[in-house]
Amino acid sequence: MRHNAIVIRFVLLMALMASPAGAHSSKGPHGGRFVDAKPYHAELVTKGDIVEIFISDADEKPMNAAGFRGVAIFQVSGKVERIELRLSESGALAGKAGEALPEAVKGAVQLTGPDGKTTIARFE
Amino acid sequence: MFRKFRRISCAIAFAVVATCATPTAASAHEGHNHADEPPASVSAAPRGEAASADFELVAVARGDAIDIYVDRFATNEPVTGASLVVETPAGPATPSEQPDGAYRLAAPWLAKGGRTDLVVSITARDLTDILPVSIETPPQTSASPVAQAGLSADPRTILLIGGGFVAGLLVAAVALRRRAAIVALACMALAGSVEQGRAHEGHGHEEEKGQVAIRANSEERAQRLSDGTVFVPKSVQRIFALRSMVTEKARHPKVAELPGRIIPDPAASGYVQSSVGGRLSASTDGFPRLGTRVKQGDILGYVTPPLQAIDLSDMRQRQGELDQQISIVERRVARYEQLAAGGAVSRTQLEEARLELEGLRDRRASIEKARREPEALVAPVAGVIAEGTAVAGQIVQPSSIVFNIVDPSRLWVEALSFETIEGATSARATTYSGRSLDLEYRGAGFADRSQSVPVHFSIVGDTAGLRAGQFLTVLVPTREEKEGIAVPRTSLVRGSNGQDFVYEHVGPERFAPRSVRAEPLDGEKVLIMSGVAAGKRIVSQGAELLEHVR
Repeated sequence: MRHNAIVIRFVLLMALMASPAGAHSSKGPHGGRFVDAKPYHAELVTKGDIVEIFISDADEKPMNAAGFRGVAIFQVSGKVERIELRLSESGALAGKAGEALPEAVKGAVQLTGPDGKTTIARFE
Repeated sequence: MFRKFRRISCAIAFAVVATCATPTAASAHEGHNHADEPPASVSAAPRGEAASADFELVAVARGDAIDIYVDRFATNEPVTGASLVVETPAGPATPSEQPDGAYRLAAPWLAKGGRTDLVVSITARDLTDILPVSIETPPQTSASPVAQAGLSADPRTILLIGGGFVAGLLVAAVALRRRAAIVALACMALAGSVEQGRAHEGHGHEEEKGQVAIRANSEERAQRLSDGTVFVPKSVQRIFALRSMVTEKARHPKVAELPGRIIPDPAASGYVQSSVGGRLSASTDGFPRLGTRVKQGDILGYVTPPLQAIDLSDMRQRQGELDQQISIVERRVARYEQLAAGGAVSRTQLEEARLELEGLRDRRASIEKARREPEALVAPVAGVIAEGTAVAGQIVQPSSIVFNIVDPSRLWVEALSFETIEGATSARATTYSGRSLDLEYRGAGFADRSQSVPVHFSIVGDTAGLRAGQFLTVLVPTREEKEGIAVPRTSLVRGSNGQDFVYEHVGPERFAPRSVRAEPLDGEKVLIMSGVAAGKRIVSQGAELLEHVR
């Protein structure tokens, strides 16, 4: 019984590993990279040194980021950059990087929901 | 009447005992059905995993700290000396590197339990990477699950307790017809009290919890799971020194396996033989012992030819003749010297007589010398004494081998091949102990020797520990090619059923055995023909240790 649970968990883990977050990555409504960040979806839009994260719910319906907090950790020219994200006028979480970010920036965004629970959006 | 009363009271007692026993059963069931049980029940400590193209990361929650293990993805080599920054619920934090290579991070925020998302950024020399990882920890503030289940008014629990009571009554009704019922009742009561005692121990005090966590940490061990895969915690992987490699399909030349034997290099070995039969005698230093290093030209002993009786008489006769001739010529010389002064004998005649005398004396002296001088046994090459049992006074036959000198740094291999080997320039050889040697092709014989031809190779590099005459297997690449995955010989393990396996690194802490068909490739590698696809991570070091995990 216990072993079965382990096996199932293992299989699930393998399935998760086999399908990296990048596999889900697609174009979002704002033209950015759209990934799964359970129970939400996150879209990353970079414009020069501005980082914007648009949040959608589980059904990919856009939602206001009010109440959310976020930290973006990106790999920029061989270094790790940590960017604090705050609610912007456009209803997204936005922050400013030290330098212009490439379009295909690699990293992860940690989101803290209004309920205090955290989730991670991974951008490969 | 009394009997009936006794029966009823016994039945109630039975039912009560059965009821007491049920909550523990109920709680055991409860625990199993928990959907968000910590994922690492196999290893006790809750853990999270993440992987990227460069790194593999495992975070293990240990009490109120997190141990982060970072390894190279392809080779499973521990990444040490890296700088890590972890984005925690309480902001960024920097873990400290432990002596065992783990990075430890104080994590007081784990106490609230549930899912914790961390973002670990790694900077290791030239590489940087960002890996998100989640750890699911059980809540630590509430009482233990056993106590919870016992107190909660879960309808299922009530049902179970009620069921237990009814079952107890039924059992009592049947069992009380026998005398053994009292014994059974006593046993059940005892069992119930033991279970209850355990349930009490489970009541969580914070100190006890800490101890449990420490115990779980020290007891973290590798396990074979029911599906055959092996779970090896990162801490154990470090002890096992597990390394992996990414498989690659390539064409490799097919090899021919030949039986071989180590021989001394013909140019750097030699025999010390006696050219005459005679009696052995040592030089001033005595006979060289086995293993003694000798230089070229060293005198290793002497052979004194014995004089046979006939030889002796011959020699005496010849000596007598010479002595006689010498005295005749001496007189002639004396006479000529007197006459030459007066001019009666020419100077030429005198000089001829003198020369004749000189020649006769030389011949006489050489006979003396031949009688006395023994033959010196001279080392023909430099090396060590490999063979030889010289004993003083021993009589040796002409052309018998007294010493065998071998240079241990220059050894060859003689292999027997059933086919002519063409175009071979290099080969490898393995000894019975698994040692691999590089060989250089020297030449092959042309004359058939029991349906095979001898092929000579010289050993390149270190020859320490090898000895002449040792058997080995020579692997010669042929012109034919084969497609497959080359893996080190240490990757391949033989199961108890005789099947060959390799271990695939399927998850950061999971290894799956894969049945393969392998063929020898060279001294250190084998070629996997089927069973594993390209691009997989195969354990290249420590596979034998994984095989022993039960």
